[in-house]
Amino acid sequence: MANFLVRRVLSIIPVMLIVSAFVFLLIHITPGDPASYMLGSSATPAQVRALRIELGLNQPMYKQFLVWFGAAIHGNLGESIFMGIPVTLAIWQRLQPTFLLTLLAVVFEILIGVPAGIVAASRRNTWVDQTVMVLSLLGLSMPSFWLGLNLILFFGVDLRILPVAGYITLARSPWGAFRSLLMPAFSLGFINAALVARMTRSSTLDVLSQDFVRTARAKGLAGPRVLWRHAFRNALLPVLTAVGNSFALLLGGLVVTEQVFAIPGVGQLVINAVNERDYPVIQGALLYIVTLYVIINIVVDLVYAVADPRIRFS
Amino acid sequence: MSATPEMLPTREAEAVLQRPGVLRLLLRNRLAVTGGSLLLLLLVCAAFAPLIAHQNPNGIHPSVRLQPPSAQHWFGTDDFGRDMFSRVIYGSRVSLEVGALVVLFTSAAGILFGLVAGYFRAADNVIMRVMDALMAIPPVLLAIAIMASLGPSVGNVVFSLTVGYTPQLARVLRSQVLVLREVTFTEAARSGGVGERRIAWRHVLPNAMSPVIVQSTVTFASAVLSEAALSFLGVGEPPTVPSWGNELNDGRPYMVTAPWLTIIPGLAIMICVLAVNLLGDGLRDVLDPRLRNS
Repeated sequence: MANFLVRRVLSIIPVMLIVSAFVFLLIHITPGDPASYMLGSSATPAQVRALRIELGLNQPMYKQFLVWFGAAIHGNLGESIFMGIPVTLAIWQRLQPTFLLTLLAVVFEILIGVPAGIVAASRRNTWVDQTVMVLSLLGLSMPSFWLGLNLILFFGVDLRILPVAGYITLARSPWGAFRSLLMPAFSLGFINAALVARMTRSSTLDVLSQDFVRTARAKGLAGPRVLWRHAFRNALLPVLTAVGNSFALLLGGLVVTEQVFAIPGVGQLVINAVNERDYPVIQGALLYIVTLYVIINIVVDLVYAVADPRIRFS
Repeated sequence: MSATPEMLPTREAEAVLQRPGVLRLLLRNRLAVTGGSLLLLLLVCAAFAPLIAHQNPNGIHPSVRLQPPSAQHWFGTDDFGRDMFSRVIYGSRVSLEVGALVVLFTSAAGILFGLVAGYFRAADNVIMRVMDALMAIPPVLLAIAIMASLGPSVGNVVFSLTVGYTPQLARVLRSQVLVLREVTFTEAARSGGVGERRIAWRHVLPNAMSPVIVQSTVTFASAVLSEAALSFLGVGEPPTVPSWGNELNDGRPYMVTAPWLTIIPGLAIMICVLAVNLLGDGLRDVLDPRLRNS
């Protein structure tokens, strides 16, 4: 197990190196001079020159990368050009809503997706199965932010039972925080629940057709017991993979969802930075989210290895 | 290694699409027919947009701004008095164009990288490490970052989404190639004196195409959704382009007083993506029954 963990952690080194190089290069694929692009057309030549020196753009590219990368490894992602604060601080200030939103979305994803998939599989080709499949296909086909807009219209504007936008911090009111994240988390979670439901259904169907399930039935075990104790446990691995994969969609969707619901999180930070061409922030936030995603993947792999000993030795 | 059906995507060494019966099977598949017809309908909308929608999608008429759907304006008008029906019909052009181009470019790049990586050990490490790294960045975020640097345009949207979705395709193809280059018919070709390059192109690639085609429908659907997200965020096409994402973004401030401005373009996106997903599920059933469960 320790061996597996070490191997898995080491494998992220090349990934993070290449991602860093890519994130670093982003600033250099701008048309023309990055410094004058960032400052816009109203900047004086002196301002542009000052920014070039501040960003180190006057130095050779490889040197710039080494300096930037060395600082990034030590947790220094540079300073925001427009906010005048370190990028890490800017991210830290916006971490709470993003973290809670992601967590709640994953809870929705699993609570909706897994039972729906299992029920659909156990009632294969009935109206229950077909309803789940149609709903999940619709879920896969709609933009999560559009679902969010419709939820706002229905629950926020028509029924007036949930706040239409904004975020209330945990410190001010945990219940308020929960209420303000309910709709955005559901709109993100539902899309992923669709994916998870499909995966759960097909992997449960796979298991249900295997010999040991027939044996369990033959020796007289009740249907639900076979389904939950025998089939579900064995169907769990592909579901776990689906949940792990869904984080890519989740972390990407976060940016749009935070925008729709005016939630001051890391996603909104990215969009503000894009609009202000605040490159250190774009780079820093991107690197931060990728690191998070890579760590999540390792955790998923670990859970996987715990659940299925065969994985550890391959 | 024996060529058991479980190990091979297909038993015959011939191109998937040339295999007799694929079209016939597709036409018998309920999912594929539904999806295909919807997609055909959208293609007709895109191709004959000027004939279907008589009004200029960008024609500004301040006297009729924010009108609800009526006989004159089927889908109502937006805050500039532009006819939403025209804008939604013309929007199909943008979405289908972006989807198709992204599929075209990701296929070309994915096939190249996947084939080379799966076939030549030396290149494998380099290519797959880069693909792994790109896959560590959520595609929409990657696209946002690239768009931030390149500026808004349809071409840049296509480029940024291509970068985001190529790795998945390359990975799918590579795993197929790794299996196929060891099987009996490639061995037979090899012992018959066929060169490695020819084996790769003529024997391995055609047999590896089924999952690639299925993955392409996933890419198409994802690209349409991501394109909408990008323009909704204002980092996609220039705001003047009548794309569904731009229309959603324009309509958002009037969401409460003029809900048709956000509901209708969203429905259009959903129908388009649904069509592609249905077609994809049908193709999956027909091309490779065993993939149904993966």
